[in-house]
Amino acid sequence: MYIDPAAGSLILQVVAAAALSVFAFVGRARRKTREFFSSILNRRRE
Amino acid sequence: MSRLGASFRDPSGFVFGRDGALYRQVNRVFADEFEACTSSGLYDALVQDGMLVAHRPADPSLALTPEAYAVIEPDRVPFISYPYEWCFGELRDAALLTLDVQLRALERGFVLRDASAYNVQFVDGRPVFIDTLSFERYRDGQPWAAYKQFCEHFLVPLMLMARRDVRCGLLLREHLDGIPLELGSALLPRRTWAEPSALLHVHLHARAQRKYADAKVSSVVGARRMSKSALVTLIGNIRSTVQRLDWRPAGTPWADYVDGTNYSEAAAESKARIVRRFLERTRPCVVWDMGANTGVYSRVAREIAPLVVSFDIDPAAVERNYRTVRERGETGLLPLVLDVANPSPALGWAHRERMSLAERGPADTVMALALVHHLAIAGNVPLDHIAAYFAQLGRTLVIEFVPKSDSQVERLLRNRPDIFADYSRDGFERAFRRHFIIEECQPVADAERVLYRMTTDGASTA
Repeated sequence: MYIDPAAGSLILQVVAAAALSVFAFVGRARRKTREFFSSILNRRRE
Repeated sequence: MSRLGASFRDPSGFVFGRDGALYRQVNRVFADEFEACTSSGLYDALVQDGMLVAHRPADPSLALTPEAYAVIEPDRVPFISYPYEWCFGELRDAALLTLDVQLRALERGFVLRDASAYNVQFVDGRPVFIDTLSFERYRDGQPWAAYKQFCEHFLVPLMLMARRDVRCGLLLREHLDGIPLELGSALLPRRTWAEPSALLHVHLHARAQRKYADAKVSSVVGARRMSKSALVTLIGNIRSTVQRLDWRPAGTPWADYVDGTNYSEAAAESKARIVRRFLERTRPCVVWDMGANTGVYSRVAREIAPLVVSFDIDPAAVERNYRTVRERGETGLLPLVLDVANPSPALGWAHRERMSLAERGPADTVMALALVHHLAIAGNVPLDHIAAYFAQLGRTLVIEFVPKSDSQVERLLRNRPDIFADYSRDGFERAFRRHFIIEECQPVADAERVLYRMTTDGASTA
């Protein structure tokens, strides 16, 4: 490592990456849940 | 045989020139990383996809210092340009390339150890990563050391250009290592605090920097680790932030200049014909089109010359030019933002890190179409000074003289006294004969303007 990574930058990205991962997980979970229920509804309509 | 002025910060190696060729020395301290990267196939994959400049192994005896482990010969970049000369679209494409290279590297277990905008150059209308030694093995749990550098080199300038004023890109000329986060945070409009990406990557980033300015990395980060998937998510978030940033090139006088020009269709055709004929006489390899606007005559030059660098002062005109290059997939045409009256100087340590415009020449041909009246009348630069500088920049010159009776010159003189007694065709020829031989001149049909072809060969450059 020949550049200064800067302590503030490192800590922010650790926190940010964790938060973004949670958002991404929640987003994926919501999408899957929606897909699950819409597939059930579609089956009933058929 | 010399080491490149910009290549001294990274102890893993450096670039040097020898007998007209360009080489990169890889030092022994970096041997393991270099071998790991080579054997992983990452270099080959990136080169194959046009993301990384290709290189060949060279004779190790060419090494410049005893620390050498290997010597490689990278493909030459035809024209070196700098981030402070790029338009918004060019800087954004360079940022996206850097992030894509980082994601590709992570897939193969590597990471970018730096994210300098100077690691990117433009070749054939596309950004290409040029620093072969920027990769190192990814160590599980490690955050991205170059995150701050990426934000300061790319994200902050792009946000300032998109959200504040596109001319903020020129701050990169003063801040060679990127626009500092706290400066970017202070300059961005208040409303950007409500944008999650600006809030996170710029404003909170700047705050974190300030808060932990004196902290030791190991004591702050300590046991905190960052999984690879979290790192990929972070890079993906930065990527979508960069991709969403947009700037519309309109409303500046120059972006609409071609549409609002006083040329008739016949005059424009005549001018293009003369330019083409003049260039066919000398068949230049490299043409610099100064004051190119959106690149209409750069494209005429490109029919003959393999490389045309298309300079203009107006970021909107350059943006339009660059978008045309990308949309049409044009090669050999590089649009850049440059004020001919205040061209890029030599910058950085000992003025040797970034070359001045003149140091990157001379071009085979310099074109200065519909430019001299702006320099001489709007910029008060004496004709003799203009001729002397153009003689420094190019071996031949294709230049247009625009007389005082032309409506564009009348417009420049509308609200000021005419102090330009020497600004006449005679005065123009007299000034340029001191530095050039006038080979031929041709009036533009259906206009009062005259095009000249001149050469410095044999002319006094005193």
